[in-house]
Amino acid sequence: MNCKEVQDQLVDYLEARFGNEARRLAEHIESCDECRQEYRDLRETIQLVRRIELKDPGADCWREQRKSIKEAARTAGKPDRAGRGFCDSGRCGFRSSVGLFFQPDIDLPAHWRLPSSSSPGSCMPGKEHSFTPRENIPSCWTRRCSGRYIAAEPFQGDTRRSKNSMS
Amino acid sequence: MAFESDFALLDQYAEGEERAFEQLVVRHQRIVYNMALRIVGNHDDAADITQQVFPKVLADLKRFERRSSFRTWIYTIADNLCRNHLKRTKKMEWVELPVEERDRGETSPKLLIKRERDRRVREAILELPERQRLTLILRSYHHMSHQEIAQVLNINENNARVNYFHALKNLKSTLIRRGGIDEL
Repeated sequence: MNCKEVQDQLVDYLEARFGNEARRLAEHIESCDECRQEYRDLRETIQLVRRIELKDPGADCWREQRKSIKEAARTAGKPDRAGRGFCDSGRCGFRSSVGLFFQPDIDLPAHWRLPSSSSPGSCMPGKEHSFTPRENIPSCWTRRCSGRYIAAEPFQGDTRRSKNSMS
Repeated sequence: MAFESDFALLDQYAEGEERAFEQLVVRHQRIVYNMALRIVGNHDDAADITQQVFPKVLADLKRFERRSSFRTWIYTIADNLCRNHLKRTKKMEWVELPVEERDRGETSPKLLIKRERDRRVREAILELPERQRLTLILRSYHHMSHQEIAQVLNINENNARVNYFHALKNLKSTLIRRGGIDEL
């Protein structure tokens, strides 16, 4: 058994995945400085990695997150129309700077437009925004524990609605 | 209440029982968050990714053929979302959650050394190439077999094993290059 063969199998050896081969590997590692060092390095690295613990964000955060997941699951698959729309032509008597809120299942009239990418209600992935309580929040925004919202990729999915509510 | 498998809960959800989905969320929320946190390095982004995973699960449910476990599948979805996120953000650094009041007084040298060592290892993990990082995370913290990791990454089992080996080697080199695990 040469060093290359031994080193190729060190991960399996460290994870005790060997039966009869283990003895041959152990003998080689014992007698070869280079492979012994390699074995020690790998073992130490595994230990360093495994020792790291994560801080728990806390029960409130988990609860808040489940609430947001429920909301997102409920609106999953709806066209992302909720939010402010703007009349571009003036036909409706509004100037273009005035917006109205549309519900997700209402189609926007053809001469209305969705907000431009610089408007808070638009869905630019990674963008953050604080919605006021009166604002309708598009389904592509997800709530953070801080109370602010972040835009995610627009969601396209299953439009299935169940007779049972998730709440 | 009897323990129900993930697949049994998925069946119940398909029949209109939405509480079954809630149970799946409770069961897998933490592991998805922990995986995302170790990949992206900060709480806010990990929490966002976790929130996106479950609606995506519902969206893709019809395409899930149950050739792997639900856990493996959900990790695949989380991995894709993490990768999309990393493409957008580019820069990664480990951001600790704020230290709570009860932890603030703990300043024993041993604890400080442990925190510093953990920080260095975390940052070195974030420097690994994506696939190696994910392999290391799934193997070390989620105790997945090389076969399960191969399913998540859509590669063969041997490549998963090789990825893990290279991840450990690269991690060690990074720690040596950046100086100092040994002195801690």
